[in-house]
Order: sequence, then structure tokens, then C-alpha cells
Amino acid sequence: MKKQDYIRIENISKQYGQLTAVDDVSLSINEGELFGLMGSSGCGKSTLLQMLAGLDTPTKGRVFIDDQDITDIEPHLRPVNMMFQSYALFPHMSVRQNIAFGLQQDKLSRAEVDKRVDEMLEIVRMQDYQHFKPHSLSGGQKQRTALARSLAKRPKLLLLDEPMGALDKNLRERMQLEVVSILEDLGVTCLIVTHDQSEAMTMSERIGIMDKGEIIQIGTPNEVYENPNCCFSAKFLGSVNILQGTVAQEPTEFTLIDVPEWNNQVRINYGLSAPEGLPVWVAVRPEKMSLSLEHPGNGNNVAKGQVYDIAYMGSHSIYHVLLESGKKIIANVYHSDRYISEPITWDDHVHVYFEATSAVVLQG
Amino acid sequence: MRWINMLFSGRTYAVGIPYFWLLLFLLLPMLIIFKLSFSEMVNGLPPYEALASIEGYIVTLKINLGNYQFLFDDPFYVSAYINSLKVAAISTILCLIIGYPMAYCIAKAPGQWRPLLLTLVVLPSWTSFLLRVYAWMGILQETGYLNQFLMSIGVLGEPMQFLYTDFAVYLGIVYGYLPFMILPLYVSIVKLDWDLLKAAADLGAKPWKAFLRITVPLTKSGIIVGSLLVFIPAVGEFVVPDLLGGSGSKMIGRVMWQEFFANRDWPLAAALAVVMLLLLLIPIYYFSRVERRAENA
Repeated sequence: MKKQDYIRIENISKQYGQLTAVDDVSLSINEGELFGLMGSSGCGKSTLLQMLAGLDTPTKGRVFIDDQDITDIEPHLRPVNMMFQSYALFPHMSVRQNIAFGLQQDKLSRAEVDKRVDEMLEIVRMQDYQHFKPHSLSGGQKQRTALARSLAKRPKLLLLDEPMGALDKNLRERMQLEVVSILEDLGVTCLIVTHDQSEAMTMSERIGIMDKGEIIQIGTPNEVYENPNCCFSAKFLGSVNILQGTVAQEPTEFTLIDVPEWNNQVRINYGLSAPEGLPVWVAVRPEKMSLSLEHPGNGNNVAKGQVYDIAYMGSHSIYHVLLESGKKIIANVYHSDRYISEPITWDDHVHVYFEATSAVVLQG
Repeated sequence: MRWINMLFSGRTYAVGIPYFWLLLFLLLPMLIIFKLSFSEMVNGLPPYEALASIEGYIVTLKINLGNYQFLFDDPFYVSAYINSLKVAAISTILCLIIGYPMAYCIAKAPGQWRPLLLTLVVLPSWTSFLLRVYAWMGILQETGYLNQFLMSIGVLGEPMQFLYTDFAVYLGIVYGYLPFMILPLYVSIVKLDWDLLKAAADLGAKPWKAFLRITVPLTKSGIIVGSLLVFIPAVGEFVVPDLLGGSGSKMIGRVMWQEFFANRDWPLAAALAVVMLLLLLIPIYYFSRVERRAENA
């Protein structure tokens, strides 16, 4: 049985003079969970990571691992290990010596160290390279070595700092899956810190979005993507069209919103329990925006506009449409057929529409 | 055609001229000293016998190994060598102990402070070394500042003999050569990736353990270069033992000076110099091998 709330971060803050890098953050991670913490640079995610590793001390708040308070424990005594963004492999030591380093600090017998290093080498498939020095390894091999080194001590919490940051795109996608499968096989509890959304979404079971030292939203990648709780979340994860409006009418089963930018009222198929006249934002993902030359029929939220730019991406095209109100909308059109007889093209006058179920209303 | 190109390339001159200079002013005098060490001392000008003499068609080559034999027979010279090596070794270790923390702190200082701190390290060298040694004489002598200070705060009741002691010799050498230790150390420490130390701490290494297993091995080249730059000139140091050391402080540089100028035994002094050079080649060879092995591994 995996323990709930295995890692508990309680009201942690970090102050650098006047600057609040981390502001009263609380977060719980279950045993064996891969948790992705996302945010742009300077949002405080690295500071949080450093505090968990013990390389920085919090101004306020506590950290518990498996009900043990580790807030004041020295970094070298914590059951926490970190994989550094730069990998920080010791350049004068071989792959094997790098992996053994942490175990040697624990006064384990030589035989035990050797046994566990062999295990780790096998897990990350680096047996053939065990006597190589880091400078002669490829990017993926360096990463596997760094991963093995940080896992060798069987930490209760593994911290991954921008784990794929130093890899190129193709290798990155392969390594994401490889790293996740290793971590899941070992059942390690992980906190992955990254600014890359695809990395966070591929690797984590739950993600947290951080901004200005605070965690704004926590949920599964699907929850956060489809139900962002604020404009920042919506914009941070994926791209989004945000339309500003006010609540017009609010029966319980649907909501009508005045959106001058849309030149029309927008109908949302759920009740808001918000007063009339409340300013709100309607968020629609580009893949949920459709385009047609003919009027798509009632039941949709429709606006007229003109195509001013198209970006062809292969699997889909991104259409940029200028509405009559002057608002710019992006819509993704997926290419399920290889050939379309009359594709929508530059300067076409089009109808832009989305279903009442596709939009999310945000209040901040 | 390649050698023609080389003849006219600027690189040939950029590399060639300094090498020619070294050949002329380093290798040639060394060869003269080497030749001199096999001569025999005579009273006259020059005060040695020529190695080769020509009489009619007969060229006589007279190689005198007596100087070398004399060096090893007389315990005076052997102990002077041992003492020089000892003083140089201890001074090198002292410079390392004092210099490493200094270099480390300078390398860790905020970027805008480092040039100033480095300038302060080399600042004393803007004055002649001889003058600075004289200044130390002023500080160390019986009525000097050090004794005055120690007596004024009550540590000493009467003046203590600092000048003309081994202490003064070590002080002078460490003082004089410290910058040569600090600069190469700084260069290697400043290149150190601090993430490695964080990683070591994260993996459970106590700070001193991380220092021994990460910092020291990765700054080894600085330690070796710094140690050589202190050790080699310290072995042959003349000014410090002559001015600060007692009459009994036997260092090979001083003995050599006496043989050259006081005894006018040039061949013996030359033999002393040759043996000293050979002694110094051992650590240089050893360290360069360690260095090469570290690079190849």
C-alpha cells in the first residue's frame, strides 16, 4: 500500500531580503508519485527544490518525509537526492565511481557498494560504459549515469531539476519515457521541476503550476489542461484564446456571457453561480475552435472573421483569424485527410465557432 | 614546398624567436656551467683550466671528475643539499596551506571583487624583492617592530632573536613565493563547477570529504604548478638565507655563492649547480608524469 501524503511541504517560504522567492507553499506528494512542478524561470521552483535538497534553508515552514521532519537536517544526512540539470557528474571519476560515490559515504561494505552499483548499472543499462569518464559519454549516457547516481542511495525523495534540459529534442522524447519507466519500476517518489510543459505532462502523474513563488494549480495534466482555474494556468499550459466578457444571464444549467470581442453572446453549458455583470474570461483551446466557410448552424458560438495567417505544422495547421471586433483568434485545423478539395486559405472570410461544452469560464 | 611556406609564416617567427632566445641565454650558459664543472681550479684568470688543450697535432681532453667526488665526500655539501631541499619542501607546504584558502576565497568572492583581490596578491612584487627582504630585517631585528609590538603587549619580557634564525628564513621564503602559489591555485579553483560540490553534499559527503574527493583532485594541476613554482626557486634561494638566515643556515644557493666569490672555486661551484639542477629534475619529471596520466585517464 502506497502511503498518502508521503512528502509534506507545509507553508514553506523563502525570503531573500525584500524578495519573496517562495511564498507560503504547501504541497503533498504520495509515495511513488511522479510530481511535476512547472513554472517559468524566477517563479521560485528552483528555490523550492534547493530547500528540499537542503542546499538552502527555508525562512519559514516545515518539510516532512514519511512523517519525519527534515527541515533542519543537513543535506548530506537527508534521504533526498537530486539529479542536477547540468548532471554535475564528477569529471575525474568513471561512471562506476560516480555511482558508487554516494554509497561510499554511508560506510557500507565494499561488497555491498559493488553489488548496488552493479544493480544500478544494469537498471540504466550502462554496464558496458562503467569505466568511461563522463567527458567521453553521449548526452543520454550522461543522463543515465546521473540518474543512477541519484538513485543509488535509494532516496525517499528524488529531485529532478530540468531533467531533459541538456538534451536535444529527439533524444529528449525518448529519454522522458525511459526515465519514467525506470522511476516507476523502482517506485521512487519524485519531484520533477521543469519549465517545459511537454516534459511535465509526459513525465508526471500530477503537475503543479507555480508563479511568483506560489503554487497556482495542482492536478493531473488532463485536469489542469481542460480545467484551468485562472488565466495564468490556461496560458501557461498550452495555447489558449481568452475572451473577456461579463455574465449576462445565469440560470443553473447554462450561462450566457456578453463578450463584445466575440460580437455576440457566448453560451456555456454549465452554471456559474456568479452574479450578473461579473467580469469573467472565456478560455477556448485552439483545437476546440473550428473554422468553416458556411455558417455552421445554431447551437454553436459563432463569430465572423478573416484568415490573416496560416502556419502549416504537418499534423495540423494553425489558423490566425482576425474577428470583426479586431480580436485575434487562433484555431487548429487537423489534417485527417491527405487532400482537401477546397481548403480555407489566406484572406478567406470564415466563421469561427466553438461548442458550448468547449469553453471554460475563468474568474481571474 | 612546405618548408618554404613555413619559412615565411609569421607563426614560425612567433615561436622560433623566443625559442632561439631561450637557446641562447638559457641552454648556452647551462652548457658552459656543465663544461666548467669538469675543469680543475687554478689560481689565475680565468680561475680554471681549459678542458681541451692543443699541442701540435695532439688534442688533449682533460675531464676532471674530482669536483663531483669532492661534493659527495664532504658531508658539508651533502647536508647543504638536504637542508635546501628540506627548507624548500617545508616552505612549499606552508605556502600551500596558507595559499589554498586564500585562492579559494578569492575564487569564491563576487566577480567584481576578484581583480582587486588578485592585484593585492601581486602588489608587493611591484617593489624589488631585495628591498622587501631588507624591510623584513627591520621588522625582525632585535629592536624591530615585531619585538617592540610583542613587548608592548606583554608577550615578551625582553627582545627575542628572530633575525638570523631558521624561522626568518621560512618567513622570508613563504612571504616571497606565496603569490606564485596563489595565482595558479586561483586559476584552477575558479574553473571549478560549484554544482559538483552541491552534488557531493547531496550524495552524503561531509564538507571536508567533498573537499578531499572533489575539490583537491580537480584543482590538482593548480596545486602541482604552484608547488613547482615555489619549490624550484626556493631550493636555490640565495637572498633570503643570506640576509635573514644565520651564519649557520646552510642552503645550497648560499654555498654556491661562497664557492664562486669567496673561494673562487668556479669548477666546484659549477658542479654544485649541476647537481642541484639534476635534483630539481626529479620532482619536475615526477609531477609532469602525474599530470600526463591525469590527462590521459
